[in-house]
Amino acid sequence: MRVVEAHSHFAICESGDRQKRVNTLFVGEVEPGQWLLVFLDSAREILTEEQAIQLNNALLAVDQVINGNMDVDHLFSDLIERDRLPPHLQHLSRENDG
Amino acid sequence: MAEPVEGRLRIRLQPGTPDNGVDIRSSRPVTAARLFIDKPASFAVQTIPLLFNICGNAQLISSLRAIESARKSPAHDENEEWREALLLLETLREQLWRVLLEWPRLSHYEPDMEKLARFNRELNGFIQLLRTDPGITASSDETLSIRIDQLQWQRLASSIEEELFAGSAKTWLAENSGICSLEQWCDRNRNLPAVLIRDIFDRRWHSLGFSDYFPLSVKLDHKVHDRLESAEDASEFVQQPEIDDYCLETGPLARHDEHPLVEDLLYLYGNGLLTRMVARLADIADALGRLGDFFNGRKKLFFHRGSKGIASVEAARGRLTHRVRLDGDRITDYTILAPTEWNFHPQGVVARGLASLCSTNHEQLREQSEFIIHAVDPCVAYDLQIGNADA
Repeated sequence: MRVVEAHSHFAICESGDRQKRVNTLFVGEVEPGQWLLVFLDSAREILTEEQAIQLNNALLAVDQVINGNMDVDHLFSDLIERDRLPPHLQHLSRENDG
Repeated sequence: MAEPVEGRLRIRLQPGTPDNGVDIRSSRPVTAARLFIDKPASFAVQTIPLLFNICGNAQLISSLRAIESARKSPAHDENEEWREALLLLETLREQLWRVLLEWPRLSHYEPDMEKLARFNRELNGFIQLLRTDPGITASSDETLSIRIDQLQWQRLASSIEEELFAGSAKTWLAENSGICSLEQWCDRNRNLPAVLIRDIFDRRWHSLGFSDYFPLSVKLDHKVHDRLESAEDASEFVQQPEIDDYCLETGPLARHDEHPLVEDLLYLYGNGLLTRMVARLADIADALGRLGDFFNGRKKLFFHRGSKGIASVEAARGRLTHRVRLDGDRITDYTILAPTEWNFHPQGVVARGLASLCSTNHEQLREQSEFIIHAVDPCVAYDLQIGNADA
């Protein structure tokens, strides 16, 4: 969720057209415009904008997949790259290419 | 921005009807792992921490182990030990949240938010340190470069121990071997858990939510794995898992039911409120002890690798299993079985516990229900309805 108003120990955050009060004690001071990972009305982490977009796209993709739409690759264009396999598994990807 | 898709639990009781008319329904997207089908294995590894941010490290490690076992490309022992340390740090953070924030709130005590916030921030620092090391997601090819600041860890661990156990966690685990020693500990100390346990005694809620105890032990993994291997019923199984018609429970109690204190409480009060709360404290003490011994090089951390594309780990809320099928590097099938599906099964341990409540007072029934739900701990928000009054 995006911080709209920052107060001492809480913030007003928005997601779409929904606003709610979020406890920010666990992440320290926040500023308007920052992105927060929120669980049960408490901020658990401050996210970068890139992380927030990735998270949002992942949630959108799950929403589409559970509704039967498997065409979600456009939401992960930065992740669907074979060469980003963990190092010890990358040789397997290269073997398959061969 | 998208709305969260973690789903919710809807829990309803109808007092005055048989077994309180307990009805548990879940809108959790348990088939979300279909997202990974026809994608490269790396996609699952990178996406899982985004989707499961609260227990993201347990999900990540289970996924890595499942994929590595499907590939027959296991990670190095040392890397697996650090993964286990990451799991324990995440478990510690989640259990502290339950004990220092939610338990006091339910008992009408003011939680010490500043202290919990400090623990949370410092634990997140350690979690980030491990999580961002390339060695966590790699095997022997990648050298681990994690260096724990011993002084910082010892200071943090000591503060947590003082807050929760009024002294050493190891001593608490070693000296509390039964109900008598626990009562003496509660009488001697005024730290928060001692006060909260005393509160349970005073209310005579020791056995609250008691029901038949069917733990999901590691010994049953092979049966779980067999069900997950069976393609035709795997998706049904992960929504409402049962083994041989038993709805099993998983979590801190199942993890520590052989500790003498927990075993004694199980014998005396069954899997009711007191036993669950004490098992959570034992979980924290155990995690602190094992992490301390590992960080200072005194002991290794035990771990289980995956096998044939299936891996189970002990996440904070219980046993978490991932199963992957690969064709080369492409995922052809992916299934996740999470603890909440075991514990909040419509006939599972929470349903049985709520059915056992005898109060006819709606407000008391609500309070007792909240305690039972909190003690088992779902990983998502829930709505509780007593009779026809909405929560």
